Amino acid sequence: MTDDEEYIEPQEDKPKGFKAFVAVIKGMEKQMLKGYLALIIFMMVLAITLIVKPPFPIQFILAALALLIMVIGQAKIQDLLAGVILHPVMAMTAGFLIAGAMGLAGGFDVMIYLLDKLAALSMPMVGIGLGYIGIAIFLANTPTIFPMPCGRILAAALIPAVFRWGEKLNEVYEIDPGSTQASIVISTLLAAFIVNAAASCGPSPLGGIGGIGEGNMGAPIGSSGRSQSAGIMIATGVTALIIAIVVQPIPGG
Amino acid sequence: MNLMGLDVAPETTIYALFLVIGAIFLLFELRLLMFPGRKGIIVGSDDILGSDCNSCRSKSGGKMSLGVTVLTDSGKKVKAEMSPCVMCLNKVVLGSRVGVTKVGSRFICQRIIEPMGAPKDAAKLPENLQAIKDCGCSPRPRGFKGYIKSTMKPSTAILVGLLVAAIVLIGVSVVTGANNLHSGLQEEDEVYDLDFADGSGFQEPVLRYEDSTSQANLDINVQLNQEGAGPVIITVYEVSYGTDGQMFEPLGGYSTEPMLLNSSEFTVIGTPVEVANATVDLNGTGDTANASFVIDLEEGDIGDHIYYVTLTPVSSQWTFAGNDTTLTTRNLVMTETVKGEFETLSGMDALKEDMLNVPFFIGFVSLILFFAVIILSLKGVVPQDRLPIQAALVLAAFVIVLMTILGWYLDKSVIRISAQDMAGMVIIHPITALVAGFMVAGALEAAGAFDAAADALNRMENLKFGKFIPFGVPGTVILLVNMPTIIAMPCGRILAAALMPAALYFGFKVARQSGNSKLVGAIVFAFIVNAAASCGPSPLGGIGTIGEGMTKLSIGSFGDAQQLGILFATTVCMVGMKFITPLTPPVLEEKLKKMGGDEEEEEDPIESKDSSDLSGKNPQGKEEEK
Repeated sequence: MTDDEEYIEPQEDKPKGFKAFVAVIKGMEKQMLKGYLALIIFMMVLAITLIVKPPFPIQFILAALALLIMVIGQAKIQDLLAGVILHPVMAMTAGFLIAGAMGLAGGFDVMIYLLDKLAALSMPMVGIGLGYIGIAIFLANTPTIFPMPCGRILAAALIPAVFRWGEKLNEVYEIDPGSTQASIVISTLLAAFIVNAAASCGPSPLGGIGGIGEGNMGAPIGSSGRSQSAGIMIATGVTALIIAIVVQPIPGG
Repeated sequence: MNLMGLDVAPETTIYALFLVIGAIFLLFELRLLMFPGRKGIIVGSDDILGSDCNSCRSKSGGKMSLGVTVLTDSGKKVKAEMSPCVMCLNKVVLGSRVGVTKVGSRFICQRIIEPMGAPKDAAKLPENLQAIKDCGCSPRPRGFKGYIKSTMKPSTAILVGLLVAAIVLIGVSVVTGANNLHSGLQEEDEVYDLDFADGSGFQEPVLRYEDSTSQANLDINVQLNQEGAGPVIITVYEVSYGTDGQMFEPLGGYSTEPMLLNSSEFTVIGTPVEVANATVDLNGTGDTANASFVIDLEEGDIGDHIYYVTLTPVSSQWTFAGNDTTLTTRNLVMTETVKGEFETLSGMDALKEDMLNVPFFIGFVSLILFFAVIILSLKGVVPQDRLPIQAALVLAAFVIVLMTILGWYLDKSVIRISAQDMAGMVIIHPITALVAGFMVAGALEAAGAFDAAADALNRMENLKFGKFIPFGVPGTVILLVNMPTIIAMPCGRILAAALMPAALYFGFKVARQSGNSKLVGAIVFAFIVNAAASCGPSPLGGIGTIGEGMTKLSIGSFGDAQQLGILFATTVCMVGMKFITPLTPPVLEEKLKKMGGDEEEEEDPIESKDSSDLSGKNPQGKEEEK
C-alpha cells in the first residue's frame, strides 16, 4: 500500500439517542454525576420558587436545598462551613450595620439635605443645573462612577439614601406618597441603583472582578473598565425603564 | 408556634434561626481575623498574580477560591484557599500577612487584625521572592505619606488638582448661595394670604413649610360682624410635624400650595398639638383685632408643617346688646388672616447654623466617616494587614453609635440609640437570605456543581443531532457569558472564579476560528460584567433583595428588569471590547497567530492547558478538538 492510497479507518458505531445519553452518563466520573445532579436540582428548585412563589420565606427553601445538595454530594457540614467562611461575610454584612448606624445618626438626612442643595444649584452664566432628575441619574450611577471592589458594601449602605431620594422626587413632582405611582418611582430608582451597584465591582480598578480577567490575559489593570462601565450604565437605564413601564411592582401585589 | 412559652410565627422562627447561623458565621470569621490557626505570609500561589499585583489569575476551574501558599511564622508552608473577594478587598499580594485556619478538610486563608503590626519573629519574605515583590507593581508604601508619594506623578497631580478645585468651587457655591440658590419647593420670604372673608364660619387654614430653618409667622385678624363685646381665644394647632409625625390627611390629596380646607375635607389622625394661643377683645359691629404668632419649627425636622387655627369666644365674659343675644359663628370672621413667612437662612449662614446643630453635625460626621473608611481602606492608607476593611466598617458603625449616645447628652433631640434600635439596625431579610445563599453556594461547590457547569458547557458545544448542531461554539459562548445571571449566586465572584477557565477557553476558541484575537477580551469581559452584575437579581440574598425588602415588594420583583438590563450590559461590553477598547496583549496575539498558522503540527500550550483545565478534570474537549 502506497502513501497516496486512501484507506478508511475502522470506526466504532457511535450510540445514538437515549443510548448515547446513557453512554455519556456511564462514562462520567461519580463526582461529576453528583455535580450534575446538584446543579440540576438547584436550578429546578430556583425556577419553581420564582414561578410558584411559596408562602414561606425563601431562606427555608435555600436551607433545605443546601442540605439536599450536601446529601447528594456527600459533603460534610465542615465543607459547607468552609465554603461559606471562605468569603468575607463580615464585609458584606458590615454594609447593613453601618447603614443602620448612619440612619439612626441622621447621616442620610444630611445626605438628602446636601443633594437637595446640589439639585437646586445652577451653573453661573448658563443658568441650568442637574435638578432633581439629574441628581437621581447621578445617584443611580454613583457606584460605577466610583467603583468599589465589592458593590454590596456601598449598595447596602446607600440604599436607604436612594430610597429617601425617591420619596423626595415624589414630593417635588407632587405625587401622593401613598399612591401606586409613588411606589413605582421609588422602585425604579432603587432597581436602577442596585443593578449599577451590583455590577460596579466588575470594572473597579481597586481590585474588582475585572482584575481576574485582566490578570488571566496579562493586560494592565483597568484596561477593560470603560467597556464594562458603558455596558453597566446602559443596563441601569434599561432596568429603570423596564421597572417603570413594564413591571410596575406594587407592594403586596 | 410555641417557643419557650412565647407564641412565635413560623417565619419569625426561621428568620431567628438564620440570624443565629449568620451570627455563628460572623463569630467564626472574627476568629479567623483575630485568632487564626496559624499566621504567616503569602509566598506562592497556584492562581494569583497576573501582570501586576492587583490582578489575579485562576487556573483551576470549578472552585470559588484561589490557591495560595503561606509560609507560617513557625517556618512551615501551607497550601491554603483564599476568596477572590479577600484578595481584592484586603489587597492581598505576595508577602501579605495572613492567617490560615483549618475548616473541615480545607485550609482557609484570610487577612488578620494586627493593630500593632507583625511581631519581630514573624515570617519574612525570602530574598528570591523579594525581588518579585519589588517589581514595581507591588502596593505603594504604607500609610498616608506612602499614598501621597506614590500618587504624586505630575499628570495625576494635575488631574487631582483640577478635580479638587472643581469640588471646592461647587462647594463654595453651595455654601455661599452664590448661584441663586434656593431650596427645593420654597422661595425665601414667601407670603401666603388666605382669605376667610366669605363668612363661612370657623374654617381651618392650612400652611405648608419645608425647611428646618424656617419660622412660621402667623398674622391673624379677626372681625366681629354683630353687636356685642367680649374676648376670643385664637388657638394655633399643629396637625403634622414632618414626615415622621403625620397626623393630617387631606381627602383630596396634597398640594404644594397653601390649602384652604373645610373640616369635612380632611381628617386629623391622632391628637393635634396646640403650639400657640392669644386672646383678643372685640367690641361692636365691624371691630377687628389682631394677633401675631412666631412659631419656630423644630430643628432638624424636615418635612411638612401643617397648622390650623380656631376661634373660641369666652362665652361667660361676653355681653350683648340689641337683638343679638348669642354669638354666632357666622358673625365672627377671620379676615385677611393667615400669613406664613419663610425665613430661610441660605448659604454660609445656613451651613453655620446647621453645623452648630448637634443632630446635623453627628449625621454629617457619620457620613464622612463611612466614606473615609471605604476610600482610605481601598486606597491602602489604612493598612489592611493591621485593620482589614470589614473590621474597619464594623468599628465605624460602633463609633457612630457611640457618637449618637454622646450627642444625646449634649442635645436631647439626638436619637438615643437603645437596644431595640440596635436590633432594628439589622435588616433581617437580606442578611438571612445572604447567609442562606452562601450556604447553597458552599454546598454546590462541595458537590462539584461548578465543575459540572463547566463540563456541561463543553458537552453542549459538541452536541450534535445528526447534522443539526443546536449550540455549537456561538450558542455555547452566549450561554457561558450569561450563565452567571441565569444561575445567579449571592456574590458574582463565585462563578467568575469557577468559570473563568471556561471563559478563556471559549474566548481562545472563538478567536482562533474567526482569526480575530480581539474576541478573547470581548468574551472574557462580557462574562466578567455579567458575573459582577449577577448578584443584583440573585434570589439567594442578592443586593436586589435589600431594595425589595425596603419597598415591601415580593422577592424577585426587581429580578426580571435587572436581568434584562444585564443582558444589555453584557452585549454592550462585548461590542465595546471588540470595537472601542480592544484588548489583546502581545503575548496572546503571538500565540493566537501560532495557533492559526500551524495548529496541526504544534500543540499550543494555552489551548492545551485551557481545555484540560476547563472542568478541572475532563480532557474531553481537547481530544475532540485534536
